Amino acid sequence: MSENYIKYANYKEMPAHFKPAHEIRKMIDAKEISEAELMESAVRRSKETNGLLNAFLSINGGAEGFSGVKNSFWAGIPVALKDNIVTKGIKTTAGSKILENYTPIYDATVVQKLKNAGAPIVGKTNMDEFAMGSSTENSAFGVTKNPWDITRVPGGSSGGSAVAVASGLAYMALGSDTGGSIRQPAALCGVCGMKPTYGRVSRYGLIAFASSLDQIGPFTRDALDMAYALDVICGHDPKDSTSSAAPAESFSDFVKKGMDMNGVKIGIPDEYFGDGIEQGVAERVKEAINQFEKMGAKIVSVKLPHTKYAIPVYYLIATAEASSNLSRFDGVKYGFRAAEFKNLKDMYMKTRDEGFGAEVKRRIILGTYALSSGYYDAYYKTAQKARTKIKEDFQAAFSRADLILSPVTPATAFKIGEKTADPLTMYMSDIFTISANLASIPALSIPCGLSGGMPVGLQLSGNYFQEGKMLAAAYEFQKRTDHHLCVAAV
Amino acid sequence: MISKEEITKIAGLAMLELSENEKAEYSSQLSSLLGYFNEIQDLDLAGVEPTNHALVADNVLREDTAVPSLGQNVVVAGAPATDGKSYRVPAIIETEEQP
Repeated sequence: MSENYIKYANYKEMPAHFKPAHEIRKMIDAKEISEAELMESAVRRSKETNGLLNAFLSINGGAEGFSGVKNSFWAGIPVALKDNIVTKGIKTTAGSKILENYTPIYDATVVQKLKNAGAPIVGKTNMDEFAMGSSTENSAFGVTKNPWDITRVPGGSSGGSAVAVASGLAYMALGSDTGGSIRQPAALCGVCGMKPTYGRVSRYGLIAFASSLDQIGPFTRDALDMAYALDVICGHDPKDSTSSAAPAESFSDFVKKGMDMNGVKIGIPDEYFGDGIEQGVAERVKEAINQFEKMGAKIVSVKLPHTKYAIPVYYLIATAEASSNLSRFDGVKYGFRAAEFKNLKDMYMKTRDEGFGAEVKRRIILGTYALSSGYYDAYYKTAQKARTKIKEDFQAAFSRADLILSPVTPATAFKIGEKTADPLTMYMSDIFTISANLASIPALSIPCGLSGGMPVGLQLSGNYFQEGKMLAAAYEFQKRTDHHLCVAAV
Repeated sequence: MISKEEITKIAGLAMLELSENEKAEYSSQLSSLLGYFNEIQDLDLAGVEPTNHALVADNVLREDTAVPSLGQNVVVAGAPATDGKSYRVPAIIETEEQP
């Protein structure tokens, strides 16, 4: 049997579709490749592979996106967008039947920023319905396959975006991360994925799931591309009052300067290395810790004692917020309306019953319950207080460490269908990622090797607005290792 | 344990019409989820402030200046039923039939 992956010695050896955007930029500037060739190739490869992988819900014609923008890093470099990010004139479904016919009349702020930067859009990527899921199996439009092994899930909810970058269909893809929906699929597909600090990136035009947890972020081949991606999407937006006015340095300049890892304190949370971690995952992460130590970092132990409460806290808060956010889908303003109904209320109820999938309904019910009279104090309010404890854990940990290092997931990609029967089993796959959303801190997933032929992810978390430091440390790691040069054979 | 009756009530609040099968499934699944979630009740949270804001709790204000907005016809264009200016919905006030 041939290997399911290819390991390249360096970027030079890689075919153009797998190279990082910063290499492609140099090739465009040196006239070794044209913007038209890049987009033609991305669209052709996306169409050719979509029957097998189902990474895209819609693929653009190919001619769009050439704005003639000059002096921009992303000009002419094809990108993909998760289908819960609204695009003017391009159907945006959020993976749901209730929005199957929805064509937005405006662009999300991140889309406007990418257009201003001249990045052509290859297409809209598949996802768990309304970003609710950890496997992309909850899409109303079929499951996305993991390019490393098509019998396995790509992770989720941003599975399509992870697969687009992993399979060389786009050089950068945007996803959204409410409890790990960028970092978990990035880990399972062997690419980089980042959830920035809450508020770092405008959420205007992101179809809301849980507003206090949602954050848009990129998938890329390496940490330097991640810095370039953040450069273009971050910043304050008057249209999103929760977007931060924190000054955004040039992340790419900062990363390129290099970082002296001597004395950088990397915290290892004991709670993340307990039972239930696949042996290969634990080994790869420990090897990465050794690598950072070799680079001069100081490894310190940190405590995150409320970790075990993170899943209940998250699923109570996220579903409560979702039950409120999803009340807007009522068959009146956009999308789908049930064909037959007796009166207005009946129209609402039938539209929502027929339009939403099982997981979305399950979460609406759970969230409505947690907010309902008589249960609000016991569930929602208690969860919000426990969220404060989780935040305090991280602040205490960051007083001892500059960065926190952990696995992204307890195991590599699971089989399609393996966890669909029991919601709790599926929810548990988010155990290492959800705390960052509850604490509003940035967290990054980068590849750190393979276990049983499948990619393993390493998570680096930082304190608020420390993305630059996290990306610089990740890039120093990638300069000395070759895990990011290992790609799925697609 | 969340009964099927409770699920029916909650579904009504959430404007979801569920089938009998869905009610039975959600009743058993949510019971087991909440059973697990109940471990947060063990935490000592006396005096802990709830996190009501993800990061910053400051008010965000802007000048009250009129800016161009999308046209009415554009906004309603994506609706399932419209007359070009407004959303069409079934009658909200139902009239009783005359004897």
